[in-house]
Amino acid sequence: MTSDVRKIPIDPAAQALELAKLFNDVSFAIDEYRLSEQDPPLSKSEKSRLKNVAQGMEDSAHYLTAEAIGATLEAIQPQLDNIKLITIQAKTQLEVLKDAEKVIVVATLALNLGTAMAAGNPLSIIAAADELAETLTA
Amino acid sequence: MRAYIFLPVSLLFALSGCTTPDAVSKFCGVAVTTLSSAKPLFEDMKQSCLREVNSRTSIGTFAPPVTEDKGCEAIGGKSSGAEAAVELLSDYYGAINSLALFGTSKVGGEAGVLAEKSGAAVGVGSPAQTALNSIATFVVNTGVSGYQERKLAKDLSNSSGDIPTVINALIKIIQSDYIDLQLKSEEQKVAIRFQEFAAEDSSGQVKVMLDDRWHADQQAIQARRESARNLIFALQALSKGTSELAANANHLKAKELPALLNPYVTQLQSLVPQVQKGF
Repeated sequence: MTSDVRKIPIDPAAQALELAKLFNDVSFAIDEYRLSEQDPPLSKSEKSRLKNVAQGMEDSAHYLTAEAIGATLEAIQPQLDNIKLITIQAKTQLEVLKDAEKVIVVATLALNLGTAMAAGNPLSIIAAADELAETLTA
Repeated sequence: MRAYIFLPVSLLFALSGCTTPDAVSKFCGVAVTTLSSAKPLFEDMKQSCLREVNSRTSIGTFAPPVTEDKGCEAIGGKSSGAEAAVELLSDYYGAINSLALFGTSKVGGEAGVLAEKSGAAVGVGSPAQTALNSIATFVVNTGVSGYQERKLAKDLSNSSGDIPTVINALIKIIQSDYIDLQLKSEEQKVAIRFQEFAAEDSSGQVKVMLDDRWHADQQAIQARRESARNLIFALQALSKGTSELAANANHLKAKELPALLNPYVTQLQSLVPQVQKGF
C-alpha cells in the first residue's frame, strides 16, 4: 500500500502577513461599525467594548506583522551569511593589496635612487636616499 | 636590454588600462548611499505602529504619547533585523568599493616609467641597469592590478545570487509589511480617531479644523508611502545593476563598464533624494 502524502509548501511569512491583514481588516470593520449610526443606537458601554475588541485585534496584527518580517529575514539567513563571508574576504584582499603596495613603494623608491645615482646628481641622490630610508623605517 | 624593460612596462600599462574599476567604485559608492537611505524607513516601522497605538487616545485627552508598546516593540525588534541586513549589504558594497578604488595601477605605473628612465640613464649592459630591470620586473610581476581585478570579479560573481535574494526580501518587507500593512493600518486608524471625535462634536468649525489636521496627518503618511515606493525602485535598480555587473565581471573591459553601470548610477542618484523626502 502506498501512501499518497503530498507536501504542501508553507510560507510562514506569507501566512503571518495574511493573518495580520485579516486582523487589521476586522479591527477596522469593528471601528467603522461602532462609529456608524445604528438602530437602536449603541450604548456607551457597547461602543467602549467594541473599541477594546478592535484594539485587541490591532495588537494581534502587530505581533503577526513582526512574525511576517522575522520569517522573511529567517528565509534569507544563508544568503546573509554568504555575503558576510564575501565581505570579510574582500577586506582581507584589501589588506593583501595594501601590503603589496608597500613593497611596490619601496621598490619604486629604490628605482628613484638608482636614477639619481646614474645621473650623478649628489643632491638628488641624498634626497632619494633619505626618502627610501624614511619609508623603510616608517 | 631595452626591450627587457619595455616589455614589462608596456604590460603594466596594458593591465592598468583594463583594471581601472572607476565605474565599479562609483556604482558601489551610490549603492552605499542608497542603502543608508533605507534605514529611516525600517526605523519607521515601529514608529508607525506607535503612531497607530497613539491614535487610540481620544482627541482632547492631552495625555503624553505612548512610547512603548509590546506589539510595536516586536515590530521594532524584527525590523532592526532588516536594518542589520541593510547594514551588511552596505558593508559589502563598501568593501568592494575599497577594493575597486585601491590605487595600485598608479603606483605600478610610476614605477614602470621610472624603470625605463633609469635604464636609459645607466647605460646598456651595466650591473646597475640589470638591478633596475630586476626591480622593474618585480613591480610588474607582483601583479597587484591583476590580483585586484581577479578578486573583484570573484567577489562579485560569488555574491551574484545572494545580493538579489536579500534585496528582494527587503523589498517584500517594504511593500507587504510596511506599505500594504502597517502604513495602511495607521492611515485607517488615524482617520477613525478624527471620525470618533467628529461624531461627538457636531460643530461645523470643529469639523473644518479636524479635516485640516487629518489632511496634514494623511499627507505625512502619503509622503512616507511615496518614499517607500521610491526605495523599492532604487533597490530594484541596485539588484539589477549588481546582477549585470556580476554576470559581466569576468569579460567586460574597463571601457565597457561605464556603459553598463552608469545608467544605474544615474537612476539611483535621482531616486535617493526622493526616498529621503518622507523621513
